[in-house]
Amino acid sequence: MKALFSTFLLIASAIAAYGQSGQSPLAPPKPPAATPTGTPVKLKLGDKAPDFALPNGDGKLVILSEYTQRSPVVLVFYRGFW
Amino acid sequence: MAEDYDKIKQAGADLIAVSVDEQSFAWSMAQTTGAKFQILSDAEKKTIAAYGIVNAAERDGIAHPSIFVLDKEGKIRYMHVGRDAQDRPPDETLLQEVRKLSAAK
Repeated sequence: MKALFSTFLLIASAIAAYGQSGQSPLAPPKPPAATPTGTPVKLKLGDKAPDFALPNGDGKLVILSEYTQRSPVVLVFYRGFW
Repeated sequence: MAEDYDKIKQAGADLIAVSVDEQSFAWSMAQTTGAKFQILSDAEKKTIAAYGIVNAAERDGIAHPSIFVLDKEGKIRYMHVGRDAQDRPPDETLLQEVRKLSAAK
């Protein structure tokens, strides 16, 4: 138990030392909010959705803002099958 | 998704679907589903990058299955970025969001 405690002290002082130098290998800076696979989510509620112009199956360009002007839009990103 | 479209349309919104598949895939999707909504091809992945939903771990980067509900100013009123294809919000949640927006006008 005593040994454990002194080990703890050793680690704590190591952290403190690193902390002073501004770098701690044990406590890296928190990454931004991310999805489980590590993709940072850029957008949040209330943000303007990035506009886009993408072709549909007939090759016609569809512009998002033309749709949102008319009515609310449910925008779905899918992976081929739903 | 076609059934969902009818519900969404009834609730007063439009539906746009985007995948990183080629345009030809979007075409065949539209044919096989008889979809009345837009199915778009983001083959260059620029749009999913702009939305920050690229899942780099899969197939050289495809989209996290995600749903955004946008109001008439194009602002995001609801969003769900899914871990995988099974991670979807219930239809009723979406429809409630849509109804709120279309009621607000």
